[in-house]
Amino acid sequence: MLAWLRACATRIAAAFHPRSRDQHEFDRELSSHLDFLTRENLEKGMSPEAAARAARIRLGGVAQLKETNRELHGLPFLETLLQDARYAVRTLLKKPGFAAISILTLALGIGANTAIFSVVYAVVLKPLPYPDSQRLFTIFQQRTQDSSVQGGFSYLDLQDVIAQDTDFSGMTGVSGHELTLTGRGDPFIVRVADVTA
Amino acid sequence: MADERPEILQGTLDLMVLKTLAAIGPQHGYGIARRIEQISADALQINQGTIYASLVRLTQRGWISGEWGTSDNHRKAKFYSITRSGRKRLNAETLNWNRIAGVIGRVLRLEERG
Repeated sequence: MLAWLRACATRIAAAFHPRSRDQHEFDRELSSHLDFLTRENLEKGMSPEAAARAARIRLGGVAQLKETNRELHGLPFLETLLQDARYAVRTLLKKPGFAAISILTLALGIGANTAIFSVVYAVVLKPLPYPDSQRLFTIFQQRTQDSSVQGGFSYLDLQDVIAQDTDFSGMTGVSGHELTLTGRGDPFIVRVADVTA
Repeated sequence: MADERPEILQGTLDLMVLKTLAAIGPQHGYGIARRIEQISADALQINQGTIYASLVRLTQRGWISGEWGTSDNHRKAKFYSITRSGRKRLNAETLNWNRIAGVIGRVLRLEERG
């Protein structure tokens, strides 16, 4: 596990260095290897050209080997990502009209989404500014005949419910309405609520 | 190309490279490949170049380290040697390998009898 982490760290570090040094070194390794193979073939009695050719075959495709070596160093995923990004920018700069429309569409989409989410968050998702707000409930009455919801809760009904042994730690009746505040300055309307004790 | 090979084969070659270096001491890529070929009685005539993927992986994990040097016949080559953590890894993997081979062997023997 530690070794794997070490390998990752090495590759990440390598991703930020110019890889030409590693590649040059690998090129030297490959030619050194080919050298050995060629000598082995020469000792077997092959002609220099045959020896060199056989050596290359025995080693395997040099281009493929270099590619594999390149991929093992650094982070090929990151590099291809950067390459694609650069290509995308170049292409967009060549077609400014298309780029403008795309960007506008994206901006509209993102903007609309953000607006809707902000509203939904404020109205529905945001927790109420009370401690343990998930424990707050609104109680309402529902007709069993047609499941329609009653608009209000009468005070007498509330007393009945409170008298029952429910799981709620407490129940309060709330009745909201508007009043006009007068006195200093212009009168204005305030929202008030009557609550039971 | 290294990604196309099944994981087990990749790990096996790494193990063989590690073992070779532990057995014969510091060696370059050609020497390691040649040695593996010899020991396997040339049954493993792999493209010798595949060994370099192994060498890179083992180096990145700190199990071997490489250094440029001169060979017997005065050629420049990069020599690899096993590290201490490499030896530990080799021991662990050898135990593991023998254990797995034993289990598979038992399973295969079972099938033949039935």
